[in-house]
Amino acid sequence: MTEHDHNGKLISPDAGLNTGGTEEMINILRDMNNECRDIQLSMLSTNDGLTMAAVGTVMDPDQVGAMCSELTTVCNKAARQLEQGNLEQIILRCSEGCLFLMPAGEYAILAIMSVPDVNLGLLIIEAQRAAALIGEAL
Amino acid sequence: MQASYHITQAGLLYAIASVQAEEERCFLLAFLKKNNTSPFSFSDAQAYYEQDTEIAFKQICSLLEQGFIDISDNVAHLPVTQENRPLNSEYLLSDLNGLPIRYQGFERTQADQLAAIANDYIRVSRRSLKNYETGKLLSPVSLDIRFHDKDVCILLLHLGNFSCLLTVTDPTSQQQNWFFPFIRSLCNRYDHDRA
Repeated sequence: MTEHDHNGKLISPDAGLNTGGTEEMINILRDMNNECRDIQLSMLSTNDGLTMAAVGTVMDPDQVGAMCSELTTVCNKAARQLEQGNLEQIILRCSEGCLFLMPAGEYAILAIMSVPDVNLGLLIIEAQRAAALIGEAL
Repeated sequence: MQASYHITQAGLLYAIASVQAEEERCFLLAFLKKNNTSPFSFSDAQAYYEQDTEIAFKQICSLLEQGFIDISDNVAHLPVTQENRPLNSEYLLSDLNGLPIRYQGFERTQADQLAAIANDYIRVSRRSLKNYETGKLLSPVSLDIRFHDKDVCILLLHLGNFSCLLTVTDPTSQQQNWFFPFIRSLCNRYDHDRA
């Protein structure tokens, strides 16, 4: 399936559930998605952008992973230059949805896409929990 | 020793009352989490203290003496499920950033407002409470405020690594049947080691 088949969209929350990745990672992501129903897609990628696991439909996982990696790199650099310490979370609230990124251990990035009026409190603690579990597992 | 133990109301309130990681508090939190699957027994206490029977025995005796735990043979064991929530009560669980996590009985906008207000009140109260011996700021355990013509009680919960605010309209919520399993389910889900 290509990007073109879905009107250029990289993700399609309304499509059937499509998962990939190791069982343990998938279970952690699925548990998080089940607890926070506002989540449309959760994805785990390596720091250099390779997708490790995803729950939700991603048309081009590597492209989404690469974007998350780029965003994290830019924000890390900004945090360093502004002397704000280590990057903990990135939240992009947009008109059509919300993108949440955070490191999951040393080697991975947890990316979550949700509906625009997401319950941010629940999303953050569920993401922190998932990231801690993933960090332990990796 | 085959007896099993259960945590009492006083033990539960002590365990979640402070962020200070005192030995007894950590043990009680481990106790709470263990209760997820089966009753807590002496062998669990031994396992917690890495098979040091003497320390485990002393800790159990100390907690029994203080009334934080009780010996029981047939305690009805409530497994932790997602249903262990205050089903018929108005409640709001919010984080220490002033964001709502879960709520019931409030509109979304009310929940947002109340979560922010609850966080502010707790922070302001914390500034006004100081332990003059140590010079450290003290956190309140609970606060009663009025919100939209309702009396609400804000409880500051310290569940190991996870601290949050539970705002309830029922002043007797800590004595209600749902309170214990609700706290236990939160402990089990969110008290984890940060990566």
